[in-house]
Amino acid sequence: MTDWDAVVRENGPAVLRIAYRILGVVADAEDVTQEVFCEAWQMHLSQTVVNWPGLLRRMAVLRALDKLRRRRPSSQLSEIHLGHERDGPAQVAMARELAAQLRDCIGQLPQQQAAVFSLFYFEHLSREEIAATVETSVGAVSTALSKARRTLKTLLCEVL
Amino acid sequence: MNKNDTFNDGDRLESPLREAVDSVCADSIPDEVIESAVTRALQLATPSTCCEESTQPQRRSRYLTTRRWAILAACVATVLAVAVFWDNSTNSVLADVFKEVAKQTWMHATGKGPNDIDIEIWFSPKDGIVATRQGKDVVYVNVPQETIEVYENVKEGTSYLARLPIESKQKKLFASQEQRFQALFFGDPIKSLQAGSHEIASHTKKTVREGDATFIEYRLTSKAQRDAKPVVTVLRVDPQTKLPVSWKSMVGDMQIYSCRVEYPTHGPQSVYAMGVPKNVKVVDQALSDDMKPILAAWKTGRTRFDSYRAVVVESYSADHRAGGWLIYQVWRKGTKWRIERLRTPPDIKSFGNKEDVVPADADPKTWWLARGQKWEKMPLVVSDGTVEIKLNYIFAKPRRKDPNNPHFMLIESMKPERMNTFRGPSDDPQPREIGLTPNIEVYPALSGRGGWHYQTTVDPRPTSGPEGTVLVENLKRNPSESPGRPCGTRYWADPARGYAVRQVQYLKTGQAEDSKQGLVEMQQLALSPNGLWYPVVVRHVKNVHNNDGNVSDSYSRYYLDFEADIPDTMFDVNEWGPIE
Repeated sequence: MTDWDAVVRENGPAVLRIAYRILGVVADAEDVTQEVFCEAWQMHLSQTVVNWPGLLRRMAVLRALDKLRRRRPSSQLSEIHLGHERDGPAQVAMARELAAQLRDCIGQLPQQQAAVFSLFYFEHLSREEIAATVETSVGAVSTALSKARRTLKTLLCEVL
Repeated sequence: MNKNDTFNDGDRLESPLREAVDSVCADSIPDEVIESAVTRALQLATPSTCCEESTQPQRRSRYLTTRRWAILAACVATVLAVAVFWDNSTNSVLADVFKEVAKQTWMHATGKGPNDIDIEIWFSPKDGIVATRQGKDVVYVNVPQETIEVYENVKEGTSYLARLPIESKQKKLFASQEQRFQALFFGDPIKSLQAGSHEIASHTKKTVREGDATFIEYRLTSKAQRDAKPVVTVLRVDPQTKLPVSWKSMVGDMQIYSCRVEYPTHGPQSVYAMGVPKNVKVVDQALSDDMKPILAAWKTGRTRFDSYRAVVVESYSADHRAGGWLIYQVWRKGTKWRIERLRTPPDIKSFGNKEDVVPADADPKTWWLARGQKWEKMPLVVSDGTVEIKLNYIFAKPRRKDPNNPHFMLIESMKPERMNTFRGPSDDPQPREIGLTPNIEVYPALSGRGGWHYQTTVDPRPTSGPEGTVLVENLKRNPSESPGRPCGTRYWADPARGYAVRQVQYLKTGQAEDSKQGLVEMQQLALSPNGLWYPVVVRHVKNVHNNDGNVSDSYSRYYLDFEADIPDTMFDVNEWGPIE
């Protein structure tokens, strides 16, 4: 029998982190985390899940991308960066701006590409892990990754 | 970069995509946020082998899924509220009820609290003791002894009992207000921390029958603040004894509290009677006598500092004649502040060989202050002392340079975002951008002070730091096990300069004891007309990561004008001013 608490404790931080990296706003990432576990709990009741980490990562990235697309573009400032960060203000400002731009651009990618790119570069998963996570082949992951890189490079250069 | 071995040259990103990805990955989420999210997720469903009904997960509002520590903090507020409330509520609609309760030796309430957790509350009006247990977490307040004891049952082996002092401000906070009663019976303990913000919107009183019993039922609707959902509390009182027998509190359809009340003759005389293990480690969080004058001096520096206009220059050089790469103008008046970004004019290159520098024959302070008057200003942060807003710049799309000043991208509009709301009203509101407000730089507020997650100590003769300083260490008790997470702060305060801070170190997990990471040195201090210190040059040790892989220092230089005309309109959070 699945130990639900263990599933949540082991995967909760990763789900939140994935959502946060895609969305850049803690409150939104928390909402996605809640949605994911709500949905996962219902799945847990009706079926046997073999790969909880894979399933939850997939749900996190897809829900976060959905939310990202629904969001009106704006340069939101995440509150957690404002406290005691002591990096140079110029660096911080530039990094925030770049990150926000990248998120906007990821929101413009096809879902599969956006998911693959996020899992590869934000979560550092291997192609095999990503293939298992998004339920596709390793070749398809490589293709999506390549396309995503190319599109993002173009989009970023346009906006910067 | 990639943990796997399938990362090849084709996967390496080119600029600016590489930097953008690095920026996203550099973001870390504080432990408490992670903990909160996991707690919320755990609360979505409570699988049980003995309970077959209601297995559907319930989405819970953020109100109900506040972080564990916040609930504990709320308990502290709650019990304090109750303790003080009963002596100060004679004008209430429930005055007769309060009088009767005050005659009792003990009041004991048991039932369900937030998130359906078992809750128990003890209150002795005569002994001034209030104790609560939520699940296994216990708060025990002894008002005559002026102590709060908090037992947080995190997990076996790491639990401890924190003993904290009740501060006089906390007593005042909860005094003589009917809404303090709400903190307990009206199901709003969390918001009770925001004293002064409760309002009773309406109340009714009627007689109800349940079986053979008759009760007087009070229904009170209260709101903590304008945007909050109302809390409805139904309090049942025995008409003969005029004592409460039960109460329920609800937000919308969601029940927060449901308790029954009894009036025994004996109650818990120590925290251990509430089920706290006798052998648990006790951590005394009371501030030492050494700490009190330091905190008092810092508060004076934060709240009584002269009004000023300051130009703040961030650069790679401490030299007052050098240019700067980010320049701000800060206005401070009483508890209000405004921060503006100063924009380098189009005819001056802000980077490179032709950046603006102070001429050799000019006084740097006068010269920089004049730049604050002449250069274009962009509002960045505004606070009227009750609310702090940050103005987010919405750039034109597609992104392009501002035709009026090609140094900058064209901004289409600004979007205010509320960052802070200071409850109270607070006499000590603090800006989030502490590095830009010179008085807060040297007169800081200790984060988490008095909380059971932090331990504050004073070393009067530290072996590190500037000569003659005392070391104040404020460390997280259970820091993250992951490296690079904030875990506390060290302040070196100078008794010879009214405990102004001469050096700070923002600590992160995993850094070596003698590491200079996060070190900030006040290299030069000056006195304000009122006799308080402020920094003139501040060095941020090794906080700039250069493209060549080296790490270098950066500097903040502060130029203060204490005679500037500062109208109050500058601090209006609704009319923060157009883009110039």
